[in-house]
Parts: sequence; C-alpha cells; structure tokens
Amino acid sequence: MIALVDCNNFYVSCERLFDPTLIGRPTVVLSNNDGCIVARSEEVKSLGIQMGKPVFQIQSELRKHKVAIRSSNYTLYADMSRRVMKTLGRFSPEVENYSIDEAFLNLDGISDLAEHCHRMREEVIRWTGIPVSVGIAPSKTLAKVANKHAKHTGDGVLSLADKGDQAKALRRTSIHDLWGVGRRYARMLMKNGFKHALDLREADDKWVLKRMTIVGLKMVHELRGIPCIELTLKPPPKKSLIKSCSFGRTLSALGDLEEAVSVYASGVAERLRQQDSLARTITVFLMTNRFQTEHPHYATSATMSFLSSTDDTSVFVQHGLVLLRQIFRRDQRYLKAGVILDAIESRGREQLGLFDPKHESSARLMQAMDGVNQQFGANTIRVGSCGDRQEWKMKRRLLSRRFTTRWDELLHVQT
Amino acid sequence: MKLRFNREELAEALGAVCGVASSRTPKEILKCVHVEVRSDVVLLSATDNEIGLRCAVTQVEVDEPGETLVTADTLSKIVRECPDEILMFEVKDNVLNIRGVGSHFKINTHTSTDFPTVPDLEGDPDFMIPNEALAGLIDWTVFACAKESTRYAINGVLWEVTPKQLTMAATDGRRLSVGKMKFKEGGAKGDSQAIVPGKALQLFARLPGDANSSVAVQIASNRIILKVGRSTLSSNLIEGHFPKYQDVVPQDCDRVVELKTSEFQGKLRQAALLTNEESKGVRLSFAKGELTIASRAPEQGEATISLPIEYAGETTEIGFNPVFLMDVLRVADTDKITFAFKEANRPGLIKKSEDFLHVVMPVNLTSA
Repeated sequence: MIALVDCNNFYVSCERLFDPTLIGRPTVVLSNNDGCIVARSEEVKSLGIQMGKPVFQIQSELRKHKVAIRSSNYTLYADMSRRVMKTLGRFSPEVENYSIDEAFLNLDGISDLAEHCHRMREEVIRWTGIPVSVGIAPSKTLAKVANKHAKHTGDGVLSLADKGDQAKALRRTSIHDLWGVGRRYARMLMKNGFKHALDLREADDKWVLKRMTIVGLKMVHELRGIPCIELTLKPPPKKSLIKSCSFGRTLSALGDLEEAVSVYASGVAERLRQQDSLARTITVFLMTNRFQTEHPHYATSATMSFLSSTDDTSVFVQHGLVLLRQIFRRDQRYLKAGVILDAIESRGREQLGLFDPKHESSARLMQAMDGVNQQFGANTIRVGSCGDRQEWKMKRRLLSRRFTTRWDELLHVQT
Repeated sequence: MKLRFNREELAEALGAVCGVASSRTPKEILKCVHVEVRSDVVLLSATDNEIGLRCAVTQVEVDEPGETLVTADTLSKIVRECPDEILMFEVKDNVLNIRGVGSHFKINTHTSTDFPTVPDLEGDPDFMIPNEALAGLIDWTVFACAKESTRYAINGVLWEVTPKQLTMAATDGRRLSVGKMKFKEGGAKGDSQAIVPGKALQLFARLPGDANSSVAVQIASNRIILKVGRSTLSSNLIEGHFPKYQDVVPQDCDRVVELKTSEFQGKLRQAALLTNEESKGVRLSFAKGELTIASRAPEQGEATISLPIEYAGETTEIGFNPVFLMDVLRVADTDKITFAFKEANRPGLIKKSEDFLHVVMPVNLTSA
C-alpha cells in the first residue's frame, strides 16, 4: 500500500506557524516578485479567489476581505519541508519526497494502516506544526485521488484499499483533477465522453494506448489498483540545472545584468555541487517583458562548452559573463535572466579531459566556500562580481523572516 | 540572362552550394545563390560570410550571359523535383523563369550587386595534394573537433604545413585525432599553420569530385582556399592558439594490443546497448588472451561481451565512452588497429597506421 502525505495549504501553514494572528484570517502567499497568488488558505478558497491570479487584478477584493498577503519565503518553506519529511521517515523506511509539500510512503507490511496514518498525521503536526492529509491506496495515482478526498474528511485520512471505495472516489473525481491529465488530455477525454476518473478506469486499453501513449495506459492501470509507477527513493541527479528569476524592475545597464548573471551562476554551481556532479555546458539567457507593448518582445541566449567538466563557481561566473556580453543589447530593457548548466555528469564517473587543469585547489576552494556559506549563511563568501547591493533583485515587500535558519531572524518571545 | 542547363549537373552543384547558404540568417542575401552566366560556363556561388563556395556548371547552352540572385533553398527544391533532362532559365523583369516540359516556375530575384565576393585562388597555390589523401585526413580528424567550445581554436582542425608534410589535428578536449601525409611531388612553398573550421572541411568533403584529382590549397593570413575540380571553397580561419597537442600524445603506453576493426566495433556496439546517460562508460578489461567489454545501465541490466585477443600483458581495466571509440573505428579504413594503453584513468592510443593516431581519454571508473 502507498500513502500520499500532502501538507495542507503548505506555504500558508508555514506563515501561520510563526504568525498566529493569521490563523482563521484569509491569507495568500504570492509568487516571486509578488506577482500572482501561489498559495491560499481555506478562507480564501471559499471566497472564490483563484490560484495563479495576478494580485494587481484583485487588489480591491483582497482589501475588502482583509486578506493577509505574504511574499514567498522559500528558505522557510524548504526548511519546514525538510522537518516534515524527516518526521515521515519515522513511519516508513521508503519515502519519496515528491515535492516541497508532498511525499509518497511505502506502507507494505503495516497491519492497521488507518491507525498508523492517524498517528503519523498527529506526530507531524505536533513536531512541525504543519497540518497534513493522508491518502492511502494500492497505487500512486489512487493515493493522489484518496488524498484529494481526505482533505474533506473530518480526520484528514482516507483509505481506498477497498475496490468499492475506489469506485466511489473515482466517480466523485473530475477528469480535470486527475494526476497526469493535463489541459490537452482533459479536453480530449471530455470530448470523448470521459467526465470522471471512473469513466477512464473503464476505458479500452487499446484506445488509451493509441490516444494517450504508454504513459496514459499506466495511469489507467494505476486507477484499477495495479501499481505501475514505482517510488523514486533516490532521485537521479538532475541532467540540467537552471537558476533564473525576474528582476524587481526592468534593467538596461550591463553592470546590473552582470551582477544578476554572477549571482545565478553562483547559485546553480552550488546546486551542482550539492548533487555531487560536474557540468560541461553553460547557457545564459535574457528576456524582456513579454506583456509590455511599447517594444517587441526580445529573448536571446548563448551557450558554451568547456574543455572539461567542472563544478567551479568562478569558471561558471567567468564564462557566464562572457556569454552575457555576447548577447546583451543596449537598446533593450530586460526583465529576466537565467543560467542553465547542461551536459551534467556524476563526479567519479566523469569523462576525463586531455587538457584538464589540476583540480585539487579548485575543489578545496569550493568545499571551503560551501562550508562557510552553510555555517554562516548564504553568500557569506561570494564571487566579487555578484556585487553588494543587488538592487535588481525581485520584489518581496511582504516577506516574513527566515525563522528557522538564521540566528538574526529568530522569533523573539517575551516573558 | 537566358540559358539551358543539364538538370542533373545543376542539381549536383546546387546541392553543394546550398550547404553554405544559410536558411537561418536574418540577412536575406545570405540565403541566396548567385548565378553568374558566362559564355560557356555558369558559376553558382553562396556564402555565409565565413565560408564561400563556388561551383562551375559546364553542361550549359548560353543564349544570353548575365547574373541573378535567387533563394538557394527554393531553387534547389525546384531543380530537384523537376524530372526533365534540360531546364531552361531566363530572367525577365527581375523574375527568374524556369521552364521544363509542362512546368513553368517564376521566382523573384534579388539585387546581386550587394552579394559578397566569394574569393578565388590568387596566383599559384601553396601546394597540391591528392583529393583522396586530403579526404582521408579530413575524415580522420574532423569528427574530433569541438562544436561550441569556450576555446574557439579547437572548434576547427589545425593544419600544419611544412615543405615536406601536411599534418592535421583536431580535439574536443576529450579526444585528439592526428593525421599526417608526406607530399610525394612538389611539396609546399614553406611552413604555415591554419585552424580551419570543421564545417568548412565537412562541406569540402561532400563536394563532387574525382578521387584521383588534385586539390590546390592556398593559405593566407586569415583565409584558406581549396580548389578541386570545378569547385572552389574558401573559409575564414579560426583565430587563436591551438593547444600543444603533441604534449598529450602518450609516450608511455607499454601495453599494446592489435584488434580487428570491425569485430571490435561490433562488440562495442553490443556493449553500448546497456549504457545510458548516467553510466555512459564501458569497462574494457584486457587480460591474457581475452578482452572483455562490460557495461551497466542502472535499473535496466548489464552486458558482458568478450573477444579473443593476442595479449600477454598485465590485466588492465579502463573505462571509455563507447561513442568515442566507435567514432574513431568508423573512420579507420584498415582491417586492424592497434590499441595502446597504460592504466585506468590514463589515455588510450589508437593507431590505424604510424601516420594516423587517435588519443582518447577514459571515463573515470572510481564510483561506477
């Protein structure tokens, strides 16, 4: 049996944990640059405010309902997620961290599943303060369905171990809400008379294979309770890494863009080292605001390969800046830039190079830099071209503190 | 301008020049082929401002000389699709009329005055080289040059010319191919060096031409010109310093084995079936009388392929990217190659003859 544990309104729950005045009050969390709504409390959902809505379009509505607004605080959410996952690890030796707020657990061999999951749910909330819902089923896809319905049961746990319960739940699940059915497939399925997940479960295999490929057929088998999608316990190293973000304002000065590319190249290099990999290709891209109408949208990129794979921040920054200068045009106002690392290899299995420089000193430097930054906070040591002020950074006007990861941002309790 | 073409010869020449005319350039003129009609010959030219190619078409009957500029891709497709033996071309009011039996195409032309000049040989060439020998050197080297390296110099093939010999070398930083050819007659005027873009050499290798003919070569400070048969290719040279490749050719490979080229290639292909992005290396284990090639793809399976060899040295394991090995075996036109090595994490040296060597760096096996 598989359980899907999903943190309820995760970002909002994290914010409420450290600001109890938000409890019971409609609350939203905004995307990068405070652009769109990416998380809503139950109160906001019941007001009918849609996910992904640009905040400027509903300012008056938010004011009218006294909705609390927060910028996204990914440092806080990532740390809270780590704590939740660690707690879940006590309830199963096999946990797949599916996303920042979801995990699949293998519960094979556990006799009283419901009791086990209730205990797990209580322990997560006691130890981390984050409410979770648990869906139990024989396959991942059914566990997703179970979890969706669990949110509306009183105790937050729903088991679809029984065939009859599965059918009932699938009948109440719209085809649009099914895991693995995107907008295009949903349209196609609706057109062919599949309104609910139960209709798809009963579909002809040959038809599904023809219209939805083997991936669709696997999904249908999973709906029938035949597990086809295994738990990914150790996620494979990423084959491509990207660091990109919109700026707080449009930029036209090369100096600002150089800072941004240096910061992004440093960030993506750090992630590369975290997964113990090396990269051989770097891409830098720039784009203007696609919604502005004064000038045509302009997007450009440039790529370079190195002679040998590396994980050295200074190499990525140096070549990232070379690429930036190649593609930069003075007459444009850029809203977004990014750095992508490709041709990624695992350290210890890498293709050796004919003209490799001796890596020992670079490896020691990177190790020291990561160690210091981990202990004393991100960017304590950084490449000089990252700059000090970074005035171009994204807007996060309503950012809460990093309560769990920074000494200087700890919550103060007065007695 | 009015003339009749032998369609087959025209299609062959257009096929070559269309490889130069870029379809992805913002400059319309660089998408075009320049057609210059003289009294007994037609010259077709195209350029991307880096590489230029001119092909002469001789099976023509010219009524009226002239010149025009038309989109290369459109012209090439029309000529390819027409089944006629003879095609008639005529330019009237800036429109090129192409007529076959029962077909008539009208293509808008461009002003040819702005078309960049495609350089030709100026005076005597620096040296002549048999077409077949040059093709052999290009084949042996060009696949090993880098595509988008930060060291621009390795995005091309190094030509080192001395009065007696031409050496070509290419590397992408992980492998190196070197080929040499001694001039049999004449030789070169003097010493020179040039880094020629890989694309130019690939285009040259595809040019129609007789294997027994000779290629005239002229190297200037920033340009190389190669003339073979009725085609002349010019290319800008790549600036920069080519790495000192001689330093990375291993001199201490004390373990040498002779392998049958096609057998080794076949076995590698089998082993490569069970490699993937993550485990792209194959493990070559050289032992007394036997070479074992092992591969493993996580969550898929593994392969062990062996072949008998004449080897009496110490048992040695080295990991290689099978694609790199197959690439060089594909261009090795000899029945056998020698494979020399020393130990894991040290380069392997493959030779098809004393003048054609290939150095390939291994894949680290420490955590495989």
